[in-house]
Amino acid sequence: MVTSVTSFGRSGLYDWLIQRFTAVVLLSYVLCIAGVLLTDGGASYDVWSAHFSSTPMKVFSVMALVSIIAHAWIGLWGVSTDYLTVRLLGPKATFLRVLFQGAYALVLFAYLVWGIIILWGN
Amino acid sequence: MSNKFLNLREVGFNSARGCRFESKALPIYNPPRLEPAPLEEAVRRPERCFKAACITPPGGFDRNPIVKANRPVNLDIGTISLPITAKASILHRVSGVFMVAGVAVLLYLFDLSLASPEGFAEAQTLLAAPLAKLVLWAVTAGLIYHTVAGIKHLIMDMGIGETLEGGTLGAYAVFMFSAILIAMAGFWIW
Repeated sequence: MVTSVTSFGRSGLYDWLIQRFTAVVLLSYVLCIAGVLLTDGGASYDVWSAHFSSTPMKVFSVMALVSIIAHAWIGLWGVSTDYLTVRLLGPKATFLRVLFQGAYALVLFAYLVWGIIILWGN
Repeated sequence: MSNKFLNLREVGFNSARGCRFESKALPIYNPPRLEPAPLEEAVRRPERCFKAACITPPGGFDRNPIVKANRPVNLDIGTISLPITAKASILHRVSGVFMVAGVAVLLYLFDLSLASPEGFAEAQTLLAAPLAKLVLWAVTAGLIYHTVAGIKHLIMDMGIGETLEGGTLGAYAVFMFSAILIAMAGFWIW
């Protein structure tokens, strides 16, 4: 069996599990942020920034950030290997697919660093 | 290699009567293992292609002798009318890819609002603009749809609603719930 080197967990089973685990993390985070926004979160800068300054919330935020990276990687890998194929696009598809995969890898890495800077840098 | 061997009628294959050769060794929907695909086998060893090409149509030859074993199958996704389950699925993908770009918008707003009181005020001013509201609503809509469809996915992973009826019902529920939530998000943003 040939293992795909561009997938996230290097195996379909790992990717499947990581996709679901990160989905649950992101669902919790979305509900948490929605709760903050729908109560008092957007009232003022002090209230808003206080929500994100505690260590547990920073840990949760970074966990959500890492989950976005993994979840998006696995999702985009699935999309790229389904549609950017030689069968659909011809011989240039392999180049396009690797280009696309390289591009999202860069973008997602940038999101990770940017997010950490937002939480700790300011 | 001539294509002659691939023409089932020419090589004596009669779909109405089934395989001219004994087909008892090939039970319905249970072809013998390690047997090459019919066309590969026909090209490689034409003398065996009768047996290899003996495909039983749904229901078997006896129940519906008119159905051809080699009838054409339409797999062109562009001309197939997609069932609601497929629409829900493709929209899950579209919303996911859309949100990869949407995350940049959210991170930008997050950055601005947490940087300083001035940044927070700037973010508030920015979000007062109709275009910014529209962009935020679009990203929120993608997030809501992807989340609701994702919850359905997790429920189905638990073995709930895996039948055809369950899948259709689930897809309807996803469209209904996300439409309601997206409308509510719109009211909240404006």
